[in-house]
Amino acid sequence: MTEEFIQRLDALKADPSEYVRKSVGNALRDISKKFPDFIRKEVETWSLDSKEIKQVYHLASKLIKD
Amino acid sequence: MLKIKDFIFQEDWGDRRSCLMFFKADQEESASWAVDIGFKPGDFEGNEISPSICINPIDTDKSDVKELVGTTFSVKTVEESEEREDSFYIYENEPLIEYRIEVLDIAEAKAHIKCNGVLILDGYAEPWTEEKFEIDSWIPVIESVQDWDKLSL
Repeated sequence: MTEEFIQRLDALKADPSEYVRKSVGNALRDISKKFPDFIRKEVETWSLDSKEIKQVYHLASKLIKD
Repeated sequence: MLKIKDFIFQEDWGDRRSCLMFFKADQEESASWAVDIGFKPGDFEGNEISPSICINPIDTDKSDVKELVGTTFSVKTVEESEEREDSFYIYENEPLIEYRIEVLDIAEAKAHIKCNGVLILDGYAEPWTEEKFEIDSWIPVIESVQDWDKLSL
């Protein structure tokens, strides 16, 4: 269930709306409180070439930085 | 403790619902802090609710979480709250009308937070209904997910 939810959020990480992207990043950060490994595994697959995805990556990975 | 009207709710540290998060600066971003507080279920006007507040990251020039003591932050409009995605959950997640949050103290990996403001009680009503709230809570300080384990939470 959690993984499915993460996948649904993941699909919106490059959304043209900054509002949506911020929501995605904040929601992923919230999930990382209890499921850090799921989020770590997910964001590690992202290409950070676009500034949009990079923005979501920074929000989502705030609690799981090494 | 959260007070809305004469109803009182106690903070809930379970399920990692409550914390002050401090995110250190890196090469691309400044340091920031954020606050989530969940409250245990309680009666509110005949309904059982489990309120929660989410204050998203606030940029800071502080380099250590303990330097946050005395820091305040305010939001004065619902538009600003919505833009920041701050929210208060009563019956639904809603933006706040206004709030002021202050870090009163930090000791033994816990932060004493005070937050007062106005929340949206019923966002479906036209016009929506508002109510004042007061929060005075001690919550865990979290800088990374490993800190939850250190606190056995």
